[in-house]
Amino acid sequence: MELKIEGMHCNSCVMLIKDVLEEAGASDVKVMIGKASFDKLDVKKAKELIVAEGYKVK
Amino acid sequence: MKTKIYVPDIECDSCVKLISRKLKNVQGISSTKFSDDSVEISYDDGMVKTDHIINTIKDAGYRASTEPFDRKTLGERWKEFRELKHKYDIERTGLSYVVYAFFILAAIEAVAYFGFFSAIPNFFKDYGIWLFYLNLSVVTLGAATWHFLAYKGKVTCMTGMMIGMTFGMQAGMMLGAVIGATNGFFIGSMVGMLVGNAVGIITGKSGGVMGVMQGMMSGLMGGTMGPMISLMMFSDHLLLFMPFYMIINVAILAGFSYMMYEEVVEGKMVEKNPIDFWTFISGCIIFTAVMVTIMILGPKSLLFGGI
Repeated sequence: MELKIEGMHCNSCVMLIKDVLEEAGASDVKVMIGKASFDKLDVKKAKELIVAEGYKVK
Repeated sequence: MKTKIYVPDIECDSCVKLISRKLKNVQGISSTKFSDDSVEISYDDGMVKTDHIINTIKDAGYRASTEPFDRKTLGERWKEFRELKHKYDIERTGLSYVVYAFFILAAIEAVAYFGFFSAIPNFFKDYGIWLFYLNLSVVTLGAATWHFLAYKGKVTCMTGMMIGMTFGMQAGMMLGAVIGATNGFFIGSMVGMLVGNAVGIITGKSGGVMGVMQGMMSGLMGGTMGPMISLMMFSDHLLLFMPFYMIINVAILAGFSYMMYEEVVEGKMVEKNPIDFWTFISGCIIFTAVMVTIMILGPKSLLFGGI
């Protein structure tokens, strides 16, 4: 699964989103500025979690 | 129980959110209150110890301590640099690379002079001193980049912007001034601007989009200002001005490496993965060869006899 994320601007954003997704049970989480890819987590749930942290998800 | 933990690397809302999330998972912490460079934590000392809280913050990639982080003075750092050889092995290696690379480039240019360049009329008069400044620019910019890449540390937004800005600006200013002095404003600006932007983007990327933007703006600014300085001073003691100009530029790069160590390395567990000497010197030689080719064969302004 891959999501495009708006509003990320630094490494702390990258680490924050990675932490959020991993805590929710996602595996193989890879986050870069502007996008995140992961497995084993519902896309809708992932979007909700990322939006809750103040980012926009496309 | 309450404790204040100093976390000097907190720079943005994401840092606060990330540390909050990590601390939420620690049992025994009842509340956290963040300020600019610290976090006040209320906790049950029967359930959790201060050391565990500090390590939790450190694991997230931030410096943390119950004592404020006092920066070493330049004198203290210099004393440590001389005494603790192991701690500064990367910096010592980088300095030796600068010296070796400078002399290797000069030796290759000396061979090239007797092989090819001596056939070009007035070569030494037109290019000699500028080759010296080109070598100085290439090895110092190269060494600063090498030093930055040698550490795989976490770069904060503010430091990332500073990295992009310094590299973009210095690459543009130094190389732009040299090529501007041999070829004129057009090619000097083109080289300064393009190299400044490329270096600014590559290094600024470590700090995210803001670092990239800062690197690009600085590359643009430094790349056009460097040749402008050379051209504007061409009939007004340029050769006397250049040593001072270059010394200050080199000092800025040295200061950048010092800042990078302070902000990214000092007090943190940072992985070291330096590029080997042969890769470094190969990069310096290839880049210098391209620059020398541009200096000799590239377009020249009317001021330099171009058409």
